[in-house]
Amino acid sequence: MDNILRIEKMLITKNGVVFKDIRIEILDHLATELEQKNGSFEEVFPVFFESRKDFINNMNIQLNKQSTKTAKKQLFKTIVSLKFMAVYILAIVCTSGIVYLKGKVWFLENFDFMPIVIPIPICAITLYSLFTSKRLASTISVVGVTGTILLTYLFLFIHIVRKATTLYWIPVYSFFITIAFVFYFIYFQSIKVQNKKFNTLKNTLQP
Amino acid sequence: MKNSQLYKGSLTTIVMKLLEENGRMYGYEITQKVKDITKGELKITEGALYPALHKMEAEGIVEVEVENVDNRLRKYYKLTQKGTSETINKLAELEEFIKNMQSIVQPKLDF
Repeated sequence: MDNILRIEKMLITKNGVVFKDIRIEILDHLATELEQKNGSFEEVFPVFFESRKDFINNMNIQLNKQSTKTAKKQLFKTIVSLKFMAVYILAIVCTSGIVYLKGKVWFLENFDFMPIVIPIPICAITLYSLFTSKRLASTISVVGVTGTILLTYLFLFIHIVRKATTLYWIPVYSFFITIAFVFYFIYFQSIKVQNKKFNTLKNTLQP
Repeated sequence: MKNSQLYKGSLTTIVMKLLEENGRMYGYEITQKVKDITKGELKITEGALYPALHKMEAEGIVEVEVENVDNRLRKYYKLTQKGTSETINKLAELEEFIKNMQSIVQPKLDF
């Protein structure tokens, strides 16, 4: 047990393998390889760890990249889904209705920041999880990718929405408000997938 | 993997075939199994294997089970239903490819 903790500590401090889901795999691979070596842990470990430095760094980078790719795909799949389209159309109808009743100026005075405000709880939870040892690359990637899309609203599209004289700003605004709501769906789906994996662990630990 | 363009692109098929035969496997086990079967001729590098496994997981071809083994967590990969039918298609595709290559490389001699 101490040896496993020692490898894990080295992975975090020396190699920056900070995400639990990636660390599990690298740790198991290294531990299995170590078990095949002759000699005591104290003798073999320092030399072995040094010789596998490139492998660890390469794996860490590759798996982080794969995690981001998966998150991008997941977001894209969600955006082209019928559910997203339904929410998007609903957002357009609601926005158009409010603008028709109250006017564009009133609407933007009260709601132009909503696509950024709605996901704040998720971002706060993710920010907190960054300081815990249980942070997961898959969840951080999902938040990172979706958050980046929403940031384009803050830095670019909000200005277009404010300056637009014709009604084309409504579909643009509605798209981002839909993304903001769907963010919750994508986030909890990613957590559900992770929990499903670790549920098998709970079952094996039961007496 | 062995430094040959011929083997590249077959990694997913190799992994799927092994999972079909063995039920569920973990990363290190896959690398060793390939090494054993090919008598060391073909070595799958971990840098290629793990990202491929994660990609297959994202595509729903494999699913993961986490288990506690010797005081550490181990990720086992196994084929999903979609993965099982995909394996049949991939192997048929590969068989066809080998057959075509064989007829090009070793054409039957007609007398």
